[in-house]
Amino acid sequence: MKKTAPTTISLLKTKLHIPPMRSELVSRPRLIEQLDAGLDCKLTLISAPAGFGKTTLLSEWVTRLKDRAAWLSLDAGDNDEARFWIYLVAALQTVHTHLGQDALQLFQAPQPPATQVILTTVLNEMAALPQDVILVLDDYQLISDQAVHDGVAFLLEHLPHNVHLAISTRADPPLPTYRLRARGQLTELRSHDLRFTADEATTFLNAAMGLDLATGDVEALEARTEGWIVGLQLAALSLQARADAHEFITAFSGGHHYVLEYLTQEVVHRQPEPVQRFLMQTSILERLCGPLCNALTGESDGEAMLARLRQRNLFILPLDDEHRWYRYHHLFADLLGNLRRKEWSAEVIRDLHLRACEWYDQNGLTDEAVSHALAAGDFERTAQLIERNSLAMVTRGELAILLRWIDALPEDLARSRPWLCIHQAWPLTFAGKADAAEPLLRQIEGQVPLDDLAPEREEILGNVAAMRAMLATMRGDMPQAIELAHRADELLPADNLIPRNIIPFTLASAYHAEGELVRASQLLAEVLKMGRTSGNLWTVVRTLCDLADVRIIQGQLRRATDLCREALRLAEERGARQFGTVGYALVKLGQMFYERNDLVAAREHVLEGIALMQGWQQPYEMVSGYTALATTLQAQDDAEGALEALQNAEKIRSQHANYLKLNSMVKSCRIRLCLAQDGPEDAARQATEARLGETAALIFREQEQMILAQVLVAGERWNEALDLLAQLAQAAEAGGRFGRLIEILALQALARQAQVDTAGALTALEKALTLGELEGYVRVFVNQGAPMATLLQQAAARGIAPQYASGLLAAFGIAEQETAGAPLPPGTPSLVEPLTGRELEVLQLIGQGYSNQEIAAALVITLNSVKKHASNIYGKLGVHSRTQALARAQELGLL
Amino acid sequence: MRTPVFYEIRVEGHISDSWSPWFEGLTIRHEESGETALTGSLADEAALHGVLMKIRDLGLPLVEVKRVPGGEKSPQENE
Repeated sequence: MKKTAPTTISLLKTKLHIPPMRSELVSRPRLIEQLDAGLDCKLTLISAPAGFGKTTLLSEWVTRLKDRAAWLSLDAGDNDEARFWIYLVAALQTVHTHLGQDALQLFQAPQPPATQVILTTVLNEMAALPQDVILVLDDYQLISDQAVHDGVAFLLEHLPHNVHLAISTRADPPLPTYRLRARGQLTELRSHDLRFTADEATTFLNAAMGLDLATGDVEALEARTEGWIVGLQLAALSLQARADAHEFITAFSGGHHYVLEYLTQEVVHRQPEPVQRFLMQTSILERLCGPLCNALTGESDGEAMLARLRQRNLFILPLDDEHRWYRYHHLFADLLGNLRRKEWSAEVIRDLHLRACEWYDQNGLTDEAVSHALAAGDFERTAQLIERNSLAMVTRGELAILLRWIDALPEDLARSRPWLCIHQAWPLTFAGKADAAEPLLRQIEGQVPLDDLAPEREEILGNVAAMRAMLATMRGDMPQAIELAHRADELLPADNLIPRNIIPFTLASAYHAEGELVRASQLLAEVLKMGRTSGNLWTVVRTLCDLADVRIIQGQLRRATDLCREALRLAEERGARQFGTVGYALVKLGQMFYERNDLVAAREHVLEGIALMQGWQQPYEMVSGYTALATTLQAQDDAEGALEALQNAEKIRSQHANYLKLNSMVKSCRIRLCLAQDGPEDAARQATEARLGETAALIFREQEQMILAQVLVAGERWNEALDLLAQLAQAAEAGGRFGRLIEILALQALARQAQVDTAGALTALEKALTLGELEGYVRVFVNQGAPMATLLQQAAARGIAPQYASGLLAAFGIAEQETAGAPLPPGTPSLVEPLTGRELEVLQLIGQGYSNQEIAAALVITLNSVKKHASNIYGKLGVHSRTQALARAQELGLL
Repeated sequence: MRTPVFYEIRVEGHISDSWSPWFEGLTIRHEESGETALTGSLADEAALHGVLMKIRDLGLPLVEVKRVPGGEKSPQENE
């Protein structure tokens, strides 16, 4: 159930709100001046222990800078990358509404790109702003997550000139401040700067706090507290309405902390009993509002009480202009906590936490509810809370927080709850860690609630099926993946978004691998539509790439190129050119440049793509990148570079056991390089060892078998090659995999030519050329080397796709003039109208002494067709009989 | 599990011994120098850093942190 109680929104907003100025504030022009001067630097660091007025000073400062300041009050819950940056972007949006829209979406993506990549887009947007921005991070000491520190360091390192960062903290943050200090890019205010001077202490005690102390007493207090503001404030509170101020001041001794503690007791115990109790009860809260306080105290005067505390300057800070939410000064809350533990039993305190938990839960503030449930040590309650909110959190991309909560539970409890197991298993599944995910999945199945909870039962089993489907595609068991994905589809309710989005992806991937390209395309088109509707760039780019992949196999190189270009354009429009998914689109584009034999562009695109994907670390995409790089470098005769790229692919593969696609891609790439560098014998041996051509999924098996065929052709094992190629050609043609058919036909042509079957060779080549010409395939022919060049020359001479053929020959490095007449004796007239491939085949068979009847049988055509072909041949050759035709054909070099 | 380590942490000024549970049951002793010594065993380094963070958050000036080899058992009676 979704709750949008106004408290929810305002509480979250309080984190972005510049704390309102307090009436008792002592203006501190000397510090404000330093802060203003520091705006020329990148970073202002206000680093001092609790109680030195850091927040107050910052709020006084930035209130003057108004529309330029973005504020973020940090809390312990921000130790989560996604949450921290989402809040930070939200803070920036208080200054510029449209800033970082895409970044917000990406941080919530199921597999978000690397933080640095997302931050780069935010940095670029900030740099383009027409005015300065001051970004304040208050209470930075609460951040302990290294990933968040790394992100902030990155932000600092790349901060545009018009942006200034101000951090307040109790402890120096683990950021590269030394470097900034050395470059004069750091302004620091520390405890000795922040202490009240004698003048400030006088103003504070006598003017702001309304005391009327003698100079000597002020000096004594200042000396006693060493200008520590919180100490002075406590002292002032204890002194209010006290007749014996002078005696009081001279009486207390001990270190200033002792004073503080003593003063806290003084201050608290001098309050009327209801106020005392209120303070002790509510100081377990990080933030307070009237209704929440009422829930704890069982009274109904919460709001009035808060206003009263504020009026008395009892260390309470309003967090919004409406004075709905407050917080205690952190140190005061700690001191109250000590008093509470001293005076109240653990049972009473536990009960307070449970009441707070209850209220937060009812108001839809799960974070706070969970932290109070944990503080109460009520794990059962915590588990229930997590279960109820887990799906919504996953949808919001808060998986890391969810997992941390689950971690906080005793293992037995976490393992006994199917939903908690499901959320632990999903990220493992995404990462391809089948070994870790599988035991959890079995655990879940063992705990599925029985019949009285039928819908929930289906949802749980639906999740398990969806995960198993994904793991099956990785393992390469596509039929099972398809079956499981369909089962998940039936079981899952329509509103279960995450698995629902994943199912068509999983299915498309499985159908693709099984060669069912039409079904894969349909599913991808469906996902693409959903992605476009929801404006999810990540899904759109990713799906366009997968569609391009299908088109490449279908031999639609142009369409594939368009799809990748569209992905790039969309990303650019959204300022997301630096994302990992875009890297994958670049790799795909690189592969297309490779096919067109533009190796320089291919290499550039693939390299850039790999660089972008580095932070993203998706194994399949990375391995695609490195194998594409290896192939391109090998084509450029950079054998060493190719091997290095292969090693990188190998490294990623070795980290993912039983990942079929990775195994197949790396194996294929290795043997192709081996063939090019070490020759057919080594390649054949390696292929046997690696069981090349035995992978379960059709699309990958076919690729492997095509490499096997190359190895056979290179090893001059013609008969084996032709057998294999015949099977491959038939299957590829039937499956509409024309991109692959081109290569199969080219290899067939080579093998037939070697067996002195020129007509057969040219028939195969003609078909390959027809398929390749429109789409601009080049590399697939050039890769076959000199024998292919010879064949192409013959084809061109016979008028088979002459322009395309001569263009291809140019790609072999053979000049065009040579190609036109090379196989012909000089001065020999060429045909006005060239023979078609079929006519050449017929001519070839005539040459071998076949009768028309035999030719019809051999070519599986009718007798009439043979006669028609023969008559065309005679016409083109200008002859009237079989014998004349054969003589003329030999003259022309056609036989 | 690792055996607990005995620590002595000294801070400036005096704090009342009511803080002992807050500091993981460490014994709180006032020194004549005006410092407070917090002594006792802590589970591990992480526990030590937790205590140091609490000291920081209370604004107590830290004077010294010492690991005492073979120190006596943690005074659990403070719980």
